[in-house]
Amino acid sequence: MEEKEDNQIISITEHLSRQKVSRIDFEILVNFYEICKKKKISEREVSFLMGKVNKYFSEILNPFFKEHIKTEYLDILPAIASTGIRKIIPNDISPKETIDIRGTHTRETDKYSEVDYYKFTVTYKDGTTRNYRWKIEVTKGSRSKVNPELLDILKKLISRHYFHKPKFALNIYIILKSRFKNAFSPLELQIALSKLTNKSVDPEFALQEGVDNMRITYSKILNETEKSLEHCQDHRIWISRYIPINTYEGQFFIWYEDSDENDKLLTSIDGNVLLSSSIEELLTLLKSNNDIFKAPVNLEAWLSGMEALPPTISVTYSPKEIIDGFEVDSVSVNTLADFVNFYNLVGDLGCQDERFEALLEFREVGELTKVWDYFCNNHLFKAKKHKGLSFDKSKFVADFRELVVRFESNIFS
Amino acid sequence: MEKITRLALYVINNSKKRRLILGISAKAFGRIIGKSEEFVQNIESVRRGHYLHIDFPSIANALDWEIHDLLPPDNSPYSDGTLVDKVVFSLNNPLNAEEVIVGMKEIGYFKQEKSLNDIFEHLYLTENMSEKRKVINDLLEKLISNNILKLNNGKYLA
Repeated sequence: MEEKEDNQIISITEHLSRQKVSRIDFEILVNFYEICKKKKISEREVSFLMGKVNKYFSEILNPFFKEHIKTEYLDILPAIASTGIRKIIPNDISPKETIDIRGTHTRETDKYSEVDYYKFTVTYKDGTTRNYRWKIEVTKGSRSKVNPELLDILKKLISRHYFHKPKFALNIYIILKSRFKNAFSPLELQIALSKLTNKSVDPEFALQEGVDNMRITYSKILNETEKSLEHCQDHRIWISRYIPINTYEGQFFIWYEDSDENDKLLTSIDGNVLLSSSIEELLTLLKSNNDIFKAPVNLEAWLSGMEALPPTISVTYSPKEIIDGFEVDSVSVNTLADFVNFYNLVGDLGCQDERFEALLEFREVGELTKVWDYFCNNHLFKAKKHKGLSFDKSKFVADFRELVVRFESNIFS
Repeated sequence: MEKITRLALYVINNSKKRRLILGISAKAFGRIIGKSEEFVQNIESVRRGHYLHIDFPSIANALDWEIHDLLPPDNSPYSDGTLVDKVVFSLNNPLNAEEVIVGMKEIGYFKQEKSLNDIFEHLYLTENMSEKRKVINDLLEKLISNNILKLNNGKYLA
């Protein structure tokens, strides 16, 4: 051991060797590491993208250490290194081929950094050798500055429910790369996520770390309402409310995805839409189910989960509000979205049972379909050329009122 | 259903297809790669298990392949490591069966006439495997009608 007090560098060198190391293990590690070095992806960044602690990959790189990249992680190496799997896994290894490794490991530490130097020679089965020199440096205690643009993007993702389910760092990184090319490094992403998992962050954007299959994940800390809606999404059963055009009192009903993958309104055995003036009454009805309706497949599991969650309305349909929204000079996107939601709801009812089929023709009128098409092409599917909405507003409102009347006569019969 | 990585599933299914095309039994395959028949059958079933990369050279060697032949092409979509359902390649599946028969044709198996029993033996389909035998039978009829194979005195020919 060598100690230099003036520089306060502590240096320790060990002479080490390993026999009968799996050659394919070693070559995978070398190929992957060489590609990452060329692309300037640090060891810490590799560990982060693998969903592991910062030193994970550095430790695997120790050629004298028996750890290797596990088979389960080969799957993610191409995404981390932006390369193909065939560039990482070698082609010319014989069955059960081994190598011997002999060399030195020097660790130098001071108050600023920790550096591992590996100088080693690999001996192959045919007696040939190859020399390697690796230097792995970790800088200590550096201030991590958050990229504000990246933080903003992550907050937008949070708002759009992307983090409602746990996500691997690699998944987030792949999404960012697909949208923003190489604008952000894995380290910048790690720092930004670290900021969002900090306890002092705004609860609206607070993330938490979790573990999935021994890899770190990131997910939003959901409030009770969000948990309830997520539960509904998982089971494909939602509580909805309909406010009839001439009243202010809403009626609650269940909208669900049936086993045939069609969206439907829950109806009783006699074919009428199951409505209730309160959510509690609706839930009581669903729990009792004295054969008055055909239960959706996930109903029992959904009800069970709802015991611990606040029942939350996922959508409110209010034709009066929609008409009010269309009667102003400039129709807002929210009004368009509300109209489309209602239009689709009518379609769901019309398609689910013959007795409601007639509703469909009242949807297929000029101005209604024009507005629906406009919203889908320009706001839902983001057409390249954004066209303005042009339609006969008076005719639209008249056709819409007719549709509402027909819809209400069907559900309130 | 068990879940594994996309790469692991690809290797299992790709190697199984090749094994069937070459007419290598699970037992013989296991012996060549230094494992038991039960090991291979387990890996190739929906039960938990996958090949370790340390065995890739042995597997490729047993299938008269290079290691890269086991792997997906370099332009495959990236995986973030999310596990997928272990849906294994099976002769119960007509599409999988077609890949095998077409593969057998490509390696020259049908250059000489083969009876239905010859084909069943090649694929190690014993009499109790009636469902798989039916799939193969129906498939051969389809390949005859599409002129991919010919039928000559009850025997199949390319």
